[in-house]
Amino acid sequence: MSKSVRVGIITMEGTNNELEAYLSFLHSGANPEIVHIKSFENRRRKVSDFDILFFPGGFSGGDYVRAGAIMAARIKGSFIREIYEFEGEGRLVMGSCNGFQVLTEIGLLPNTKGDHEIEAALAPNISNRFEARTVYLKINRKDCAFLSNFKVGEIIKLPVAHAEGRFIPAGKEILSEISKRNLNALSYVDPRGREAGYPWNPNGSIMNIAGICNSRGNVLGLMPHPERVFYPYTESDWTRQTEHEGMGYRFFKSAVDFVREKF
Amino acid sequence: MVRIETIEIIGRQDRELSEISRSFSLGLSVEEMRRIREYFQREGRNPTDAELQALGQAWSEHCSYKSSKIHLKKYLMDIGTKGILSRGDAGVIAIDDKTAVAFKMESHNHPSAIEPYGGAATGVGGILRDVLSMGAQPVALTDVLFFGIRKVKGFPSPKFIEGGVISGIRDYGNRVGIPTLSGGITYARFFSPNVLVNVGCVGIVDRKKLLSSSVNIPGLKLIIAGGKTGRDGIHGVNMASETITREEDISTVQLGSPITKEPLMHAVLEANERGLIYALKDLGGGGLSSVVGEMLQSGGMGGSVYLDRVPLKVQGMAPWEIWISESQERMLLAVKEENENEIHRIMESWDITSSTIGVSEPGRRLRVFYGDEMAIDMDIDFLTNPQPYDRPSLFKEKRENTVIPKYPENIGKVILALLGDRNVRTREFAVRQYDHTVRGSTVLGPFSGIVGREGPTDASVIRASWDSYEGIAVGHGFNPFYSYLDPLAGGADAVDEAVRNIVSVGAEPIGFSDCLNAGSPEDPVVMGEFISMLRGMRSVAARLDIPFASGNVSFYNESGKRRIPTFPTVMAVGKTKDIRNVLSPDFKKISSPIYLVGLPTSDLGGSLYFRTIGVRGGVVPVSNPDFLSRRVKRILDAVNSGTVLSIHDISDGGLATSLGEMTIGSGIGASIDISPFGLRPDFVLFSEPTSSWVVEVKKEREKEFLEIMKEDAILLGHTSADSLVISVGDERIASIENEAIRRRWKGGFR
Amino acid sequence: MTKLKITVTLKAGVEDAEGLSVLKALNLLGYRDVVDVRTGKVYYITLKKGGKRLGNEFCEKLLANPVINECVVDG
Repeated sequence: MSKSVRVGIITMEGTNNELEAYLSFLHSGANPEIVHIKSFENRRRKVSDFDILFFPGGFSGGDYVRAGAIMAARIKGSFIREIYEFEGEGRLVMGSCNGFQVLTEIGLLPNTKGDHEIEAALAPNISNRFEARTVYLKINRKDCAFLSNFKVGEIIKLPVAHAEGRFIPAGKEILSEISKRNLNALSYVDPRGREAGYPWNPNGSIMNIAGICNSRGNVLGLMPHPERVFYPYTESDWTRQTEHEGMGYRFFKSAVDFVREKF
Repeated sequence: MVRIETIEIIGRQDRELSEISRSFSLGLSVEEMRRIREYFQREGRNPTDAELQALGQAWSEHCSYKSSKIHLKKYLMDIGTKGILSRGDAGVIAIDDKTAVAFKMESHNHPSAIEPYGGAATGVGGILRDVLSMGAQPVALTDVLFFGIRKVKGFPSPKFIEGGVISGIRDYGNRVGIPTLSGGITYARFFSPNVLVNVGCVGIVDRKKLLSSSVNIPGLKLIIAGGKTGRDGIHGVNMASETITREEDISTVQLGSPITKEPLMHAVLEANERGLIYALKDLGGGGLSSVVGEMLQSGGMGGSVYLDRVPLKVQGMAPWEIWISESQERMLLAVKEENENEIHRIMESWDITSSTIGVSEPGRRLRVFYGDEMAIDMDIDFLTNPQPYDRPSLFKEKRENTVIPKYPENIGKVILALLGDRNVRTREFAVRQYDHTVRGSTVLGPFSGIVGREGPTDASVIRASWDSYEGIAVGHGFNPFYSYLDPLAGGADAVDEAVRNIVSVGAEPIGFSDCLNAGSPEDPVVMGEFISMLRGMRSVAARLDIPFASGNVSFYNESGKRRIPTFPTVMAVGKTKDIRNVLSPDFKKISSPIYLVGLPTSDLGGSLYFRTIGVRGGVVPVSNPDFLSRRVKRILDAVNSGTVLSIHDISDGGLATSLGEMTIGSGIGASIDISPFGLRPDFVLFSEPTSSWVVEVKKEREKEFLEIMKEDAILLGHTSADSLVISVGDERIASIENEAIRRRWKGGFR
Repeated sequence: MTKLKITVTLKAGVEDAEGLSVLKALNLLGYRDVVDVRTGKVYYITLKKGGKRLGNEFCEKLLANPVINECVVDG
């Protein structure tokens, strides 16, 4: 009998994406639940109720002020300690798009120094536009709980949909730490797998960074949306491809497998 | 402090009655004012300001459809009705035993002409709420936009309006997390300054949870939920019922808030899931005034409303202002007493303001109070039923002259010109700002093909649920250029095009909605065009037996001497049993046979070709519903049998443009011979024949395809590498590299 | 009551894409003397009690991300 893998998908007004995240985890055999941030703030739910925390995309709080800023501020004002403990135990955290923005604002990523300082930000796209397109990504490491079923160097395609996705580290030091430790788990590439500029890098991220996984390998943040292509039929070019597994599938399978094995 | 004024109308003469209507912005005619005077004479008193304002709202064109009701009933309402589950705020049609699809189109033309960003955004907000009112989860948004070309003095420039509208749609649609999937952008001189913003929404509902807005038992609590009520949007419907003048009062434009709407959607759906809502309606044009009136009227009830219990944005609002305010993001729930507290609790858990403001009662009286004072005490049937107009109509002679233009020197150049035309080329500059993948259910979006070089699609498809392979398709049809020359043909062809687009993705069309766009109904010529348009629409829809489950009429789209053509934007909704059979227009393989389903025509009136070479007039092609019906059936058979690789309908720019578009997302070209048709090559390549498609067939299944299609398919040629080559027998008349086509169509967008 | 004006902009080293497009548009309209445009957000905050120091806290806790933003408080 396989153990129940409990996934908490944290939302507030303006969050989108929770539906496809919920379904992706559900169809991977896990037990997902959509939980409003209020429930954590007033202690009706605890972070420790879950094995995996997922921060979905959208416009949490309208993205007024700055993408993800209001959700991050609310977390920092109430249950941030619980999240740090959760992370410290090696449990899994993932955030896509707005969720990635939240993870950088609460210091879970890149967290090169291990003290949860804010070391990076996701700034407005260089094109000064909302970008809804498909991008190619190269997987740079597999010792990350969400990427274990991929091969290093593998190229996949995922959709992006954001106006503030330009990854900017706080300085040269942080950037070189990211590089040295291979924390840039996914990079934007062109169809031939080479780093390239716009539109393959849709937002101007430094070093074409599309996603960051922390040193320990249990926290992943990325701008693209694997949860939107769990099945192949929502990929933008599926009508031209032969039967295959959805590009996003292995992110969730890896995470669920990891929890089953480890906890 | 005087909150409620009494307005003297008993004993007043016509001139004074007109003055009262004007000074209170009621928008009522002298006849209507007389009727009201007589009513209050019978009641034995003069009306309050709130009562007059309520009548102004309820009897406005926008809310009551008084100029169009008669004609809509006659031409559209009785088609295919057995398929319709409900004609509430949105139309609802079953897709199987358990599930139904709710959908509607709405126009937000006048507000967008004044404040494009806010106008377009609240258009999106409004249409979402209409679908939500049926208890349905919205799953797709569409927008069909019409912009002018040259700036008109005293109005904002078309570029400014365009930028505002696109941004408004983007910011609202993206924030509520519903994918914006489909639609169109058309540029024509008709639309300056009369911009048109037609928005559509499709939603999915469990048939057992389908809601109506009918309050048909007493004792139901009326609860307002969502945004607070303020002064924004007062007299919005009256503005929509008048022609556009220059300096409009900005207070008539409503302010939307997607971040309030988003949790409101969740809360309402949650409450409905638990069976707590008896009836539901969203507050749009006319605010509380319209909604309460309509809910009680349709259920045969009366009711009492207490305006002091309405949560307000600003202090000091007069009761009449609260009653007719059009502040956005509000819904009215009718709830059984035993569920009242639970509804408030659910709203609170989503951080939404809610308040019980009234109750339904037996009888036919509407009473509205502010504290102890009576603001309204009227008979509901009188209030909600203006005299429908059968306005005079004048039918102008259609000038039918067959025009034979000069034969072009360079066919290739014309093809590229058409592909680069502002009404054909890519719309990525707008559409890539809309999130079309949110909710992870978009099977076919606005683009398809090789990543990085995608081409256009004909319609969009949504996966209905991750637990099955059922899909819902949505597509549109519209052609103001046809309608300008021949409103009847334009009406018929709009329906034909919407059907073609649904069939192109392999789905079966099941229902229509529409936005009927026109100038002033007080102009008999406009009414004549309006009726012709409806006749045309009917001719196709009735033959296919597909119903118009919902729709919208927008009159008064004119300013001074400038008015729009009288034309419909038709939205068609379709279903497919298996999304894995959905097709996109990009060619799939080299050496596939390419067939034309349909026949080119020498009727080129209104065509892109004629507009491009500067030819006026000509005969507008008219849909033949028998051909359409037969071809739809055969194509769906062919698609479902797996004999087709790709398919694209023929519309603006004709066969050549469709072929060109099929090369863009694929990088695969075609080699075709048009000699079998015996018409002039430019007629074959550029006519827009209606009911026609280009089909790429699986080589190994060609025989089967032909058995299904019979006389409806004619061989054009084969797909090939690199170029589009067009010959007439042995003579090559055009050869264009795929790269050149792609560059032209992309127009510099990356 | 104290009124604070807090201005949040992108730091000097961070490319201001919106500012650049406005710069380009102004130049195209003929205003060739415009050489730089930076954009930002202004918050007008009214406090029953407290002053600039509270404003700085707002910057830190919510309004600015220290990696990419400058936050200036005027009392």
